[in-house]
Amino acid sequence: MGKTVLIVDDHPSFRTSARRMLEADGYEVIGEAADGSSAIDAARELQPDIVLLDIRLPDVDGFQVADRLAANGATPAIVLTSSRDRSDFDYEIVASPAQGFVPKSDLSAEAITLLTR
Amino acid sequence: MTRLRRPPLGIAVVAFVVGIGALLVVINGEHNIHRGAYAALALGIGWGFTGTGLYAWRRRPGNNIGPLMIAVGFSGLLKALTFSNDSVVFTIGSLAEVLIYALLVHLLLSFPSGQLESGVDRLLVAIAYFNTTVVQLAGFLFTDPAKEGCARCPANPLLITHSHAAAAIVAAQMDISIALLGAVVAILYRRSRDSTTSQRRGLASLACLPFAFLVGLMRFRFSQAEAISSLVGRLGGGGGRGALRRALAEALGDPTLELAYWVPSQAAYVDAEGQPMRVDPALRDKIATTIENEGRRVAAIIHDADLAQERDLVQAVGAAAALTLENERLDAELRAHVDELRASRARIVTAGYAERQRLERDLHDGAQQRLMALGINLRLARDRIGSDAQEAAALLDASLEELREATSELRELARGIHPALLTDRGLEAALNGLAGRSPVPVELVETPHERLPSSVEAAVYFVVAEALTNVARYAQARTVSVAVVRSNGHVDVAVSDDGVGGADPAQGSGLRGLSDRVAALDGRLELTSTDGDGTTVRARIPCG
Repeated sequence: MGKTVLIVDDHPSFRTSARRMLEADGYEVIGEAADGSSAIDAARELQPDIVLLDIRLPDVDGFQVADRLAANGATPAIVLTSSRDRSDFDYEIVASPAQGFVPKSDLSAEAITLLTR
Repeated sequence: MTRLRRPPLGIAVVAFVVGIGALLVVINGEHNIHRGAYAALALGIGWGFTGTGLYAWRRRPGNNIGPLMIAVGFSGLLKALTFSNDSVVFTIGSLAEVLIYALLVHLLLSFPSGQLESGVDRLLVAIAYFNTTVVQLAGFLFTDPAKEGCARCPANPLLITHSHAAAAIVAAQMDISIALLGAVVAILYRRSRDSTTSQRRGLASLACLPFAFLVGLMRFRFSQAEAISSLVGRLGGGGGRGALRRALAEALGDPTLELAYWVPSQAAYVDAEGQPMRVDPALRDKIATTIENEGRRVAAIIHDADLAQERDLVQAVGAAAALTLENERLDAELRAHVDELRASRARIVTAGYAERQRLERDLHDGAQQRLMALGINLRLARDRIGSDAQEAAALLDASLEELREATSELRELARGIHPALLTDRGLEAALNGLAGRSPVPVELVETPHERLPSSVEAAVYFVVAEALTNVARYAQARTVSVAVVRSNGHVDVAVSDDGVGGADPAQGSGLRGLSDRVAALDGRLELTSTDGDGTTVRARIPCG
């Protein structure tokens, strides 16, 4: 069985595509969340191995979600993603407890595997 | 009861006849000395007050001062009847001889309005009348003139018995009179201290009764001329902003006086700095007198309510300053427009930033997300095309759907920035496009066939677009009509719906932004919306 994933993004079309992509590569998508607070609840409940986390969310941003997940102890591997470039968030990404960042335009199962193995 | 607008001429005739009668009574009286001096005094008071009262009544028909003065005059003449040798006439004179004091108290306390303004005033006057009628009668019932040292006085036909009670009553009457005098003096002193210069002059004159009252009324005229003359002198001296207000305040003797300038384009008053100013007709202790110049409203002088009786003076002073007021009004109007322009410019800049943020958000949330999903689907399709052609085809179908949605969202976004149809084919085609996309049926009543300046076309387009959006969102309308008419150098836009109405122009930034956009072209935007009677948005934009 592949690693379990929680997808956090407020755009349903993106969540659908990401799920399709990850499941095609053997990951098990066990949940989706559309905002930061429901992502924290879902992570606590589902205990995923990986959280694919959009930086721009309607309530709190992805960096804050990553901080809270890290503060909760049993931290999943966090992969940040955004439709913007890495250069827009360089400093925040380095300071974040997340494993890494993949722009949505380059998102692939291989890129996630590379960051979380 | 209907008040007489003019004093009856008969009063003068009666006063003359009664005066002659009083003169004869005094001259023929056998029980008094100084008859000549008293005759002159009685006539002086009687005719003087009656004449002055007639003048005051004629000049201010709505004011009680005139009739009160006439009453004082007649009571002065009645007092002369105490000289009569006839016991009945003598008795009438004796009973009425102190009535003049009550009338004088009434006159003093009701000056200048003619009304007793407070409960204390009314109480004092009631006591005065009681003291000079009931108490006077009570004393007279126990007074025998012969035993009071007037051997040649006629008999008192009302005498019950001569008694010491009369002395006690007279003493009580004196005490009441002294107390009354003290109270009246205190009230007049306080009133004089609180009153305007002009009123103070009147009160001062009144204090020098009796004839100075006439001078007081005359001085009103002189004070009017004096005030205008002093104002004109000061107006010539310049003195910068605020000088006019100070000059008017000095001329009217009201240091709290304020000026409000009328701005016709805003249908509102502003102060000298151009800031909005509320002129409340029900201001406490204040009254606003409107000043016009050649039939046009120029300003309002907001002055002490004490000047209510001297509205003529305020009007005259205002009229003398009308030209200067007009100049200051223009300055204030200019400042108001500059302030409005400054605020409008700030709003346009803010709206520009907000619009850019909205565009960024719309792009990020819309087309950009779809393109990201499209990329993922295409990559997946590429990976599957060799192993699972059916799955690859499904992914390509999904990709095409994302592409179609992204294209549609980009088109909407571009139309919101500036509609290509408007640029390419003009207002008529663009408005037809708006009407076609509106969820509420739109009747295009009239649209200009010719091309207009691009800035005007854009403003008209966005006014109609925003109005139609609001109709669809809030109006619950069945139909909406749009008319764009070019005439006399203007374009008039009207968007009217048959919905629920009750729209508040102060709510929502959309209309405010449109108002600024229209104002930037020297146009105006108006919203009319009544509960249950639909909403109409009107814009008028200059278009040479």
